[in-house]
Amino acid sequence: MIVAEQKPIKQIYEIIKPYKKVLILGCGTCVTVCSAGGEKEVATLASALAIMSKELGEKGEFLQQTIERQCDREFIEPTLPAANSCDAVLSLACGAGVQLVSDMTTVPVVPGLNTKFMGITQEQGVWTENCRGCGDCVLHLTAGICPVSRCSKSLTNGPCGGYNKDGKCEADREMDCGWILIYNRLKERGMLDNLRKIMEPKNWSLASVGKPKKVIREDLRIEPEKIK
Amino acid sequence: MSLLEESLKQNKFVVTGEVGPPKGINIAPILEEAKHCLKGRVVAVNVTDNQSSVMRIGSLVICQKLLEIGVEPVFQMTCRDRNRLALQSDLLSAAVSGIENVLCLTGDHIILGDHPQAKPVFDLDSVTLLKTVSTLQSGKDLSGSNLDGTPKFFRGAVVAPAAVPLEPQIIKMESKIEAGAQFFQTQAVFDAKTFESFVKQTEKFKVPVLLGIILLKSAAMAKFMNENVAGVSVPDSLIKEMAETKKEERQKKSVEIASRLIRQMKPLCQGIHLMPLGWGHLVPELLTAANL
Amino acid sequence: MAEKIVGYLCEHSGVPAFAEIRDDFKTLTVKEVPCSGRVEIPEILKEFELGADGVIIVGCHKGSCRSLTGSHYAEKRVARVKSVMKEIGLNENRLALEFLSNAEPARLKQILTAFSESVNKSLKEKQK
Repeated sequence: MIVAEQKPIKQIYEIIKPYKKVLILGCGTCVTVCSAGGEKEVATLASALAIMSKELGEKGEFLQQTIERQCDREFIEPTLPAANSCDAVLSLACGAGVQLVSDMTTVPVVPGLNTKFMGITQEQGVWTENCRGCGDCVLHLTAGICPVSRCSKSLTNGPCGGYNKDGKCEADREMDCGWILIYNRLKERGMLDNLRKIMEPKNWSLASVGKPKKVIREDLRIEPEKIK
Repeated sequence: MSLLEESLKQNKFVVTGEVGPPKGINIAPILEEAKHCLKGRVVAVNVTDNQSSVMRIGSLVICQKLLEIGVEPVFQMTCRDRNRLALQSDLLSAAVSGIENVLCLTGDHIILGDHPQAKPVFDLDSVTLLKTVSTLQSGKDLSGSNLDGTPKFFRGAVVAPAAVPLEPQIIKMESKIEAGAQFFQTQAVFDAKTFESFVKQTEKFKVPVLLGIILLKSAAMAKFMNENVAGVSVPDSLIKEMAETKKEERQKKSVEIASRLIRQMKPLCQGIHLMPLGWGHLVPELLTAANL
Repeated sequence: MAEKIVGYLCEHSGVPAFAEIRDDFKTLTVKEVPCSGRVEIPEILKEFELGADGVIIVGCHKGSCRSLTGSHYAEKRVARVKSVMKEIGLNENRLALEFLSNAEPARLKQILTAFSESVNKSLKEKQK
């Protein structure tokens, strides 16, 4: 899932300050799981901003709505009447959602979160990154541990000399060296030969660096105008 | 052929030194150090590349300046700051400048240095960088295009004999050799038994290994390295020895310890790589004490 | 107490303890909850938005919570609300969490009296 964190409330307040009536729009998928932008977080933020607004004598009005997700038009459509009646929409979705909502209304759509990464729930309250969208997955070669996201240097051939005797990374001594994790698991499974093979330089043109990517499935595309 | 390559080919026991470029353009001090403490005493001098992720003047230009004063450089290249275009470009520039020895490293993480907000590159890693050097030497670049003029290098890499676990280092050392590494300089080793164990597992590769030696400045420095420098392990006995030494005697003790380590481990390697870390003025004394 | 204070009382501890002292705190707005861990963060903030001067949550001691983790969650959530209060300029002393058993009405009386005074003080400080 996509993991995000809420911006500091003061920062959010500065962003919405110019707007009298704001729709706080939550998202029911990824950001609900990481407790950053779901229904509860919308309610908490609405109260917090209302209290601040009152204290500062600014009379801001805050509407609340949480939809299934903000990365598909069909869920955003029903919120548009409310959105269009406001001066701004404070979206608590990840960056992708904020932008799609922004494409669907002329009302300014502002972000309440900082999107961090693609990852998993390690335990309740802890989310960790484990995918960078490199577009060329090699998890079958590295025993299910990603060298792009879990090695601090995204090394194609690792480890470097920076791991300590506890197998921690030089960039963060509380964090495991991704390549030592890979080494340990390959060894456990009798697959150490994978480590002996030299991997060619990564094709970064497939990764989420450089130009924005697109995935198209022609078999799934329907052009309604052509059916009539 | 570089002097370093020639000496190793003739099975001479070699010593290499190191200088760290300054943060600025005042290069006179390190050139002085190279001239007075290293020239004529060591076969080649490494020039570090934004060492510890701290921005400094480039390794390439300092290597050029060393050549001008008659010192053979080892051009260190890391993968942290430059992508494959820039790395290949710099290698060609190095060749034109007459630089023959190149040391290919991954590079410390950006977060450890003084520009932690910079974007780390790591387009290549030490293995693919070595392969890149080999590729350029074959007359092509990484895109497969022909080069107008082919460079030639003596290719080096690093390994950490005191790393725990050691096996990944050895596996990677093998990959580096397959990728073209012709010599190795090690991370500093402070214990002969550790080095012996490493040599037992790697002598079959038949590639020259130059043992890394660091001059210990104090017990605090030793402890700091144990905590913070990966792959380095200073034994308690040495920490104790430094701790029991009076401040004014430290330089002398440092040279004594280093020369002792060299004498202990000399039979196990093909050379020494000295990393004085600011105490370059002690190199002549150390070389004498260690009979090098 | 003259201030508008809302009390979330756990039905296993706060409610029975309060039953014996309710005449001394006629103006306390009581909300009964099955467990202190059931009080949500947005709920607490909403009270302040709607004009509460203080909010107090009374639950069972951490080792005695019927749902085992409820009191622990209450503690974490109150800490979280306090940090939000700090961010938005509300005095954290206007929110309190106390643990007791159903056999401690005298202690509850002390707690509520002290909390009332603390809220009063916080409001006066703000007016300065």
